[in-house]
Amino acid sequence: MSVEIEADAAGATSVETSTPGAAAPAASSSPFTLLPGAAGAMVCEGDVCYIPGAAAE
Amino acid sequence: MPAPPDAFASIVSTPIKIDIWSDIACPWCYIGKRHLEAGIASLGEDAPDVEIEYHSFELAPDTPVDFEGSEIDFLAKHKGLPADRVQQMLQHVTGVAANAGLDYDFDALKHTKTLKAHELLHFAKSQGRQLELSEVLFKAYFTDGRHVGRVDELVELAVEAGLDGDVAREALESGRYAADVQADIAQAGAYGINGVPFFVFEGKYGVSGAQPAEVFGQVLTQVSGERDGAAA
Repeated sequence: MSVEIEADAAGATSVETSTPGAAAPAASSSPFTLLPGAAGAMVCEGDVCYIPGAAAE
Repeated sequence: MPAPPDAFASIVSTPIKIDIWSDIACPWCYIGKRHLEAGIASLGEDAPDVEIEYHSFELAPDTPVDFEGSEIDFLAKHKGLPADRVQQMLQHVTGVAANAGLDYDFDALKHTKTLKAHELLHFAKSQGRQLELSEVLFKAYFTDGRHVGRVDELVELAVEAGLDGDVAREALESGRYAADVQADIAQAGAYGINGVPFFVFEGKYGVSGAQPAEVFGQVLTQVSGERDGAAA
């Protein structure tokens, strides 16, 4: 199980906040057409859950 | 040159494939599952037929099968995360889960390694019961405080999902599906999937995260519309 924390691309964490704009996908080098979806959609990676693309504070 | 009529019929009659990478220990994967189901249901009679397949993703491979302590203990002491922040986040995810109709109980949750649960999901897929088992496992872990890392408990859960207990036990104890689990994990890596849940529609569109139901509904409408366009 993981805890939800925002993280930037470098993995730095911060307390969860709402973030404007579309969520970035939690996938790189994907063969798929990545649909942006809604901002704030959480993903989990390792022991943290975060909003992809959210800037660390 | 247009495809022959038989090919059109094949396109529109084949269910839309949805591949989902997730982990049983991922709170947002269960919420995302509910949102996907709600998105499909929101389309009503226009909802296309779908075929859902779960793929393995192990969030924390270093997790022990048996951990003495609460979820907060694990994340705060074992992982070094601030306890107050852990508490705050668990309360938040519990609230979001409740909005999705899920009754998360982190006080009862048994933190464990999910590798064997993934093996069982592959066994269930071979038996045509993967969706049933995925629901049983998520519920067992997040709402019922069941231990999804031990073979004996997994066999009980397999039976609850309509599987043969003896055959399920043999599948788990033999490790027959361990390679399939690793293949899924490797495939995720090859696709660049770093986090879960991750949804792939028709092998064409990727959607990351526990998106709202309306997003899933929109994606399905789009995929379905493209099919209709191809068949027109």
